[in-house]
Amino acid sequence: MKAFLFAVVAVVAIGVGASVVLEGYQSRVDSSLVGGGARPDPDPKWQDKPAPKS
Amino acid sequence: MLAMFAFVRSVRVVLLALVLSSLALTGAHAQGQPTRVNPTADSVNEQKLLEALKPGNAGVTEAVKGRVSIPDKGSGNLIQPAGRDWGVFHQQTLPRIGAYAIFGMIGLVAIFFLIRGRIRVAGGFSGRLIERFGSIERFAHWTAATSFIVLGLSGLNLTFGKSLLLPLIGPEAFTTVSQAGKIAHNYVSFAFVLGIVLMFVMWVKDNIPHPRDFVWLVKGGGLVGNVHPPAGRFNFGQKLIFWSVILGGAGLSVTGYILMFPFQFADLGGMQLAGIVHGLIGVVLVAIIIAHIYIGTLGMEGAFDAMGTGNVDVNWAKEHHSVWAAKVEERSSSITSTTGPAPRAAPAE
Repeated sequence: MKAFLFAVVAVVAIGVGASVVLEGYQSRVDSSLVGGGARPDPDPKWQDKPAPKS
Repeated sequence: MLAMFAFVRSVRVVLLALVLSSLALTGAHAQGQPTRVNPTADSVNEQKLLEALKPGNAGVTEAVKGRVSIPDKGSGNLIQPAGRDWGVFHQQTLPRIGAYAIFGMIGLVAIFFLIRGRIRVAGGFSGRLIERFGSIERFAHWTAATSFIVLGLSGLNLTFGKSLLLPLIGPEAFTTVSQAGKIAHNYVSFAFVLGIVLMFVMWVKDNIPHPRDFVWLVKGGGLVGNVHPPAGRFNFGQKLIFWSVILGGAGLSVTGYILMFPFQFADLGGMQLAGIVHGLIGVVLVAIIIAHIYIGTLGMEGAFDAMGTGNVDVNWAKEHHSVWAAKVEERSSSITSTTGPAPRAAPAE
């Protein structure tokens, strides 16, 4: 049953490792955004212009 | 008498005044309300609007959406009528299909067990063992298996938890379980992918269809009766399990990562489609794995040893995988005497 125990350890390790990597990535993305998450519109025609009135 | 007439006249005047005033009040109230009140009119109109705005209808090419500058582009969707179809599928159709598949499989397995009983080794254990799976193979199997159990339970909680688990454990515990399950579902998925990739690389050459698989299928795989058709390292049933896990696992992985990284690989419609495909493959694969677990443990004597210790009894191998056993026996060095269970007579079925 060593293979089973190694597999359980591997599943836990991979899960924890993936969570550290992806949660860290998410934190970096969040902190790189301006203010509360808003950022300039990637479309040039909308940059530095007021939002259109509906 | 005069007094009586005067009283009656007074009563008539009062009644007339009451009637006239009530009519006036009713008329004033009616002017402020529609002439016909239909309490479902708003919902009917909303449904008609949503139907009219469905992509594919005349003049509608996509969902009604605005522009947003936050990362979540999906929040710009004002109306996404297809989401209602997805909601109906997620809340009604998928649980129904899942219940039929999973409980149906459990029922079939139970009926099969009641009729056939545990499949014994007809010749009894010989006491000689033969290596069936190496340590890396068992590691790959258990990596996929343990991660799939976590993924399956946490996934089924999304489909059935609100109706089955929530009433049992209450909202607070259900919230905690569901949040933990969601996190585990996301991150344990990487171990599952590793497991199925390893299994594919190691076992694909032994799972290519062979003409003897047809014979195995015609004879019911030896599950019915006591005839064991010849089979290589994997019989046709195991090949079906293998390809179900590989193809189903690949489908689950692709659709799962589409959902795990929202709007990176697909738009909202694509994600809804991924959710539908993910759910369908998931419940079907859970049903298939239930049958696999049964036949590998309770259903067949000696089968679990293949993945437990990696070794199986020679007689078991000859009965269930005669072609493979003959090849291995040619390499006599693979067969070793052990201190395993003593040979015994074939038990009665």
